[in-house]
Amino acid sequence: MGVAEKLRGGLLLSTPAEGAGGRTGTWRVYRPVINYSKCTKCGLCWLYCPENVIEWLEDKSVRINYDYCKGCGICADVCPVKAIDMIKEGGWCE
Amino acid sequence: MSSQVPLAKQVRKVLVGDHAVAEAVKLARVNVISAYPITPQTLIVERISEMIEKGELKADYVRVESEFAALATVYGAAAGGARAFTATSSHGLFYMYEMLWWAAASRVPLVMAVVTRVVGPPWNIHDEHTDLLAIRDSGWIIGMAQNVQEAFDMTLTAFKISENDRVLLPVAVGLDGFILSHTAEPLDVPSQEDVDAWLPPRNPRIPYTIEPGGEAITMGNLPGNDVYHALLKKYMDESMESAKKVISEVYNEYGKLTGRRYGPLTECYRCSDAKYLAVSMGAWSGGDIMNAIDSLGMRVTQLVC
Repeated sequence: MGVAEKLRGGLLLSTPAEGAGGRTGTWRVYRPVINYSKCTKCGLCWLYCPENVIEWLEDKSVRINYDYCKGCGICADVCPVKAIDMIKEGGWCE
Repeated sequence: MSSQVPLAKQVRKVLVGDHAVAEAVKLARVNVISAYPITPQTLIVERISEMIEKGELKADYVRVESEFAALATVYGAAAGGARAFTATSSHGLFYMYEMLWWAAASRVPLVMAVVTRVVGPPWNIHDEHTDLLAIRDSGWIIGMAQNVQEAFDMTLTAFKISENDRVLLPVAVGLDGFILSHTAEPLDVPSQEDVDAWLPPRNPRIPYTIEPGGEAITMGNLPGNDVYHALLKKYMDESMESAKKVISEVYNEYGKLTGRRYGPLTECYRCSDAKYLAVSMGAWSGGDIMNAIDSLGMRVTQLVC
């Protein structure tokens, strides 16, 4: 294998893919939890999420991918109806 | 050097070391040059800017705000597939220190001339090698020229060595401040036609190309595995070993082209029956220093790096 080929596959060069930077969800201190009874399905949290870990589904409801959410809290901050609570991570129970 | 009928048409010129390096850069048809044009810069980039201004060299010349930016610019250009060059000296080399490591470990081909010069204090513009020695472990291939002809030849061959797919490491061509940089000596310069045939344009796809609309890649990102850093260094070390063979091959080819054969890595004067070995590099080496040592009555041989 030549030098150029050895650099690929994450050693020096990486290609965009889900989880290319590892399970960044483990970095989280506070977990954003959506209160669906308050959510108006406006999609602002989806728009502002800097990690692209919020899905805006067909029915306009949102879902957070906790494998990669770093818990920055921007979604909770921009939510116009305060439907996202930041809950401290910890303990063994979900 | 050995005598042999060279293949290339050559013209004898009288140039100072700095201008000889600029001449080699022109003949190599470099695409991008970047420099910070103030002390401690050299005549090399001044002459190159004149060449571009006169239309003798078609290249982009990027004037930047610091040596850090100068190396970052040519490093970026090289990652974009260009043949790129910069030059610096002493404090300027130290100002680009961090970028030296990024350029080397990113495995982009690149050539830089370093006019070796004292690092202050006291503020000083004379010759010393401590600036160049400080980049020893950065992953750059480092050479020192003994005279103006070597400064020219080493610059031209550096592109071919750096771009070789078994090497892909940047090359620093050292020449002694004042002793070579500002001393005019005769040298033989091959024609553009002959250089073109010997040194084709760089293949922009090797080792990779970062370009708008091209392959979506991230270079040097946080790796998923901590071992990757050690592995990357191991591959650099292997390429440094391969470079010894590649340098030999390139100098051999260049010898056929120009009639000038080098080392390839070192040259030894009277190594067979000596009691002491003097190791030196750069313009301080050569016959005169041996005569001086002989006059002391010591049986010393010399290894020139």
